[in-house]
Amino acid sequence: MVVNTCYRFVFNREDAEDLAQEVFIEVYRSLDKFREESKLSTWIYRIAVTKSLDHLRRLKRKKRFSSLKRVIGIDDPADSIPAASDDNPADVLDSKERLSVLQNALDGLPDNQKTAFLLSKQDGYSNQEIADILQTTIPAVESLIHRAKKNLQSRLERHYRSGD
Amino acid sequence: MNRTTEQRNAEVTKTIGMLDQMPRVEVNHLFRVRLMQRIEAMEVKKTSWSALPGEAFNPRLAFMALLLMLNIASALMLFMHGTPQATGSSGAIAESFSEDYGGPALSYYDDQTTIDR
Repeated sequence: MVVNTCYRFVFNREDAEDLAQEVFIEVYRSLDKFREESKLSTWIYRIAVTKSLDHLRRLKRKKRFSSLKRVIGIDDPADSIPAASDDNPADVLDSKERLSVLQNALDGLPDNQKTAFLLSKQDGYSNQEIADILQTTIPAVESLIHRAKKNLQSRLERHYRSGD
Repeated sequence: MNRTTEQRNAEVTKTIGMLDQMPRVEVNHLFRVRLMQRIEAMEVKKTSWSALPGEAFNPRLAFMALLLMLNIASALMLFMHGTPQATGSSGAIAESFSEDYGGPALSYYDDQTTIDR
C-alpha cells in the first residue's frame, strides 16, 4: 500500500520503491516520536505523502535547471508506465505523451489539492482517512478534491487548446 | 489540426481517466531484503559514531582545531624566517671574540689577569 501510494505521486515504479524504503526507514528511526494521536497506518501514509511530495519538488527543481535531461529522455517518469495493452507503437507513444501531459498538469496543482485528489483516486482511501492524513476535516477534503478536479480539467483544456 | 470542443473534452477525459487505469504495483521480491540491509547499515554507522570517545564528536570543532593548528604553524614559519640566522662556524665566532677582547684598549685587563695568576 505504501509503494502504491508513492507510485500514484511519482508515476515510476523504481522511484516509488525507493521512496517506500525511505518511508520505512523514517518510521523505524522516529517510531519513538509517534504520539498515537492517529492510527499508525495514517502516520505512515502521512510520511509517504510527504516524501513523495518532496521527491516531486526535487524533480521539478531538476527539470527547471536541466531541460537537457528531458530532451534525451533520461529520468522520464513516463518510462515505467505500462503501455497500452496492445503493443502498437503509436498507442505506446500516445499513452506516454498523455501521461506526461497529466503529470505536468498535476505538478501545477497546490500540494494539498494534489494529495487529496490522488489519494481519492487510489483504492482503499476513504475521505475520512484522507482527512486524517491531511489533518483536516471531511468537508475540507471534499472541497479539495472538487477544486483539484476543476483545476486539472482547466489546465488540460488549456494544454489541448494551445496544442491546436 | 484544429480540434472541436467535444474532441478536446474527450482528450481531457481520457487523460484524467489514466489515473483510474493505473495498475497496482507489485513490490519487488527483494524489497524487504534491501530494506533490512539499509536499516542494518544505518545501525552499524550509528554504533560506530557512538563508539567515538566522548560521543560528542563535532566536525565543526575538529575543523576549528585544524584551523588553529594551521595558524600556529604559519606563525611559526613566519617567525623562523624573520629572525636573522647566525652565519659562519663556531671557530670563526671564537676568533671574532678574541679579536674584540684582544685589542689594545683591553690589554690592561689582560695584564691584570696574568698578575693575579
